[in-house]
Amino acid sequence: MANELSFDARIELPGGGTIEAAFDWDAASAPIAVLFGPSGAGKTTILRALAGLERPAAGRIVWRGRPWFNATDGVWLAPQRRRVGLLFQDYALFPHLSVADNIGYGLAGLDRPERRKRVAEQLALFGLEALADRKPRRLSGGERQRVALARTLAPRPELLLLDEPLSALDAPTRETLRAELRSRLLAAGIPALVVTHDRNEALLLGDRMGVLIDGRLRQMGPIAEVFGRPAGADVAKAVGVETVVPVRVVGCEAGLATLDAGGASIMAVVDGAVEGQRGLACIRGEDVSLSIEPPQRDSPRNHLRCTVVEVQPEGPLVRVRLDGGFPLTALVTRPSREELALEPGRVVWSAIKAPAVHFVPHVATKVVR
Amino acid sequence: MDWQAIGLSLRLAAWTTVALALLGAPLAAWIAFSRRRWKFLVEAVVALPIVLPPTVLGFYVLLALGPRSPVGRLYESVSGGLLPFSFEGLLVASILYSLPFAVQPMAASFAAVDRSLIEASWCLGASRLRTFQRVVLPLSWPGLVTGATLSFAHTMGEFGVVLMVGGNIPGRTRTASISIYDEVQALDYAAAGETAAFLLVLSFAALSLTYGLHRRAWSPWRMS
Repeated sequence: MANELSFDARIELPGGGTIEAAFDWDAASAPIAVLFGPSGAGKTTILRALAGLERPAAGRIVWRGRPWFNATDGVWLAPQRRRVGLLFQDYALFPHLSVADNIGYGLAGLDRPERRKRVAEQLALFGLEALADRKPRRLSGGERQRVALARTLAPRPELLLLDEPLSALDAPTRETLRAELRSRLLAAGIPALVVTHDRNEALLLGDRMGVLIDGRLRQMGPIAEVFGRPAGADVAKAVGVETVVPVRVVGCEAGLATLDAGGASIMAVVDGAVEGQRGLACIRGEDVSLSIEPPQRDSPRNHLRCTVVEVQPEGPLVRVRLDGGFPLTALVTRPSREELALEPGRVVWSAIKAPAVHFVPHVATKVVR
Repeated sequence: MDWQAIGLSLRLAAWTTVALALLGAPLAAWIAFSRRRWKFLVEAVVALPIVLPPTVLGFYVLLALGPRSPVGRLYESVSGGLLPFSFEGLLVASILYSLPFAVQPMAASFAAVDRSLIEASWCLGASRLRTFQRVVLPLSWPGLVTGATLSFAHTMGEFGVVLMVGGNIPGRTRTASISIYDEVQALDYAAAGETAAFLLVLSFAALSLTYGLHRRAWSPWRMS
């Protein structure tokens, strides 16, 4: 496993305050990484440091063995020389250039026929042929996003950096493009680091996720792990969902879907799921109730026989990690912990209402290109 | 009307405008984008001609261009002529005198270009110079037109500096405003009135163009 990106830097902000983050990223096995955190946590600053627009005060940044920044030797690679594609939050389309000229802007090094070919390729890929001669101000929000992404991809960068790629869109457009963005990124075959403050966006887009709080990178790991085993109470609070399991839709009837989570099956209320569809089932810890006796069968409710793996007090609550065929986390009160005598190894029954299971469609990482 | 003087003024203003477009744009770009601590000193020097009496500016330019100064000697050895009391000397003085009128509007419009557009250009591999040519300049054209119009109009009307550096040689350094002064001294109010009216109309037209442009400024490229 090769870490393609190795980031360890401290950035001092002009208005005071510092951003500190250290993480490695094996982009080959997890092509889309998400940098998640509340607004103002410093996510964009890290992205800008990667793009070469913000110079850290200390540390180093190495991409595919090439140092982009090293404070000790004074190495600093200009943005022009990093072959990085940065998608700005407001897209930063050149207002005086047409859609085609915007897309072709980064292709100045190519000769004219090759440049024209690449622009045509991108226009076709993003369904923008009819808009090629339009100026950005005459495009809708969704069209601008596609032009910006096409412009970023056209020079075939080695690394994509996306700053809140969906936040400038109105809600209906955002829903549509959110579903489409991951497939587009995977199809492009370029590793992408996406900054977002939206939990659904993080779940939907990412393979790996880093959580940034108050200028510190608190945790970085596979999506399910970060949600299931947050590194601290602040991370748990920021992510807000304790269980994230990869699932496959095996049945769907009257809005109630049966999800297969590696053997165990979960019922979920899902709108418009397709059989065979892959995705993530997300369950909040508060929505998992525990009992010693096998509960009465009642309608749409999941009952799982679980073994307690770990019990961890967390403020007024206790975080209980369970194995019910898949890793499941419950948050219970201290009295219930006593009552249920929760200790590792103990067998309990968990109940989760079907509407509390949130299904997020998620395209598998390995795609046929 | 003294057509010879008006012609000379137009020629001087045209050359000054061209020179300021070429020299002023890089200076304006430096002022707009540099993060040097002593930038404010350069800005103050550029703005000096706005507040300095033209005679003071003219006096120092005269000294600086004179045959005993390094600049004057260099010019004499190259061209064989003297800068003071020549059209070329006048041009140098005019460039200095109109510098703020060209540089300030240009710097303001360069600085107003959305920073993320410049950064987007860098990330797409364009050098700083190319970014300036392809993104900053096209988006700053109202500032460029304003700078050019103001330098032209300002040069057309200059008096004190011209008198100090150029004197009053018909056909060589006697500009429109000096001709008006001469005509009034000679009590030829009719001739003075015609030249004055010409300058008034020209200045008004130039300023109307500038302000009219700024009313609609940016609209061709506005995003929404």
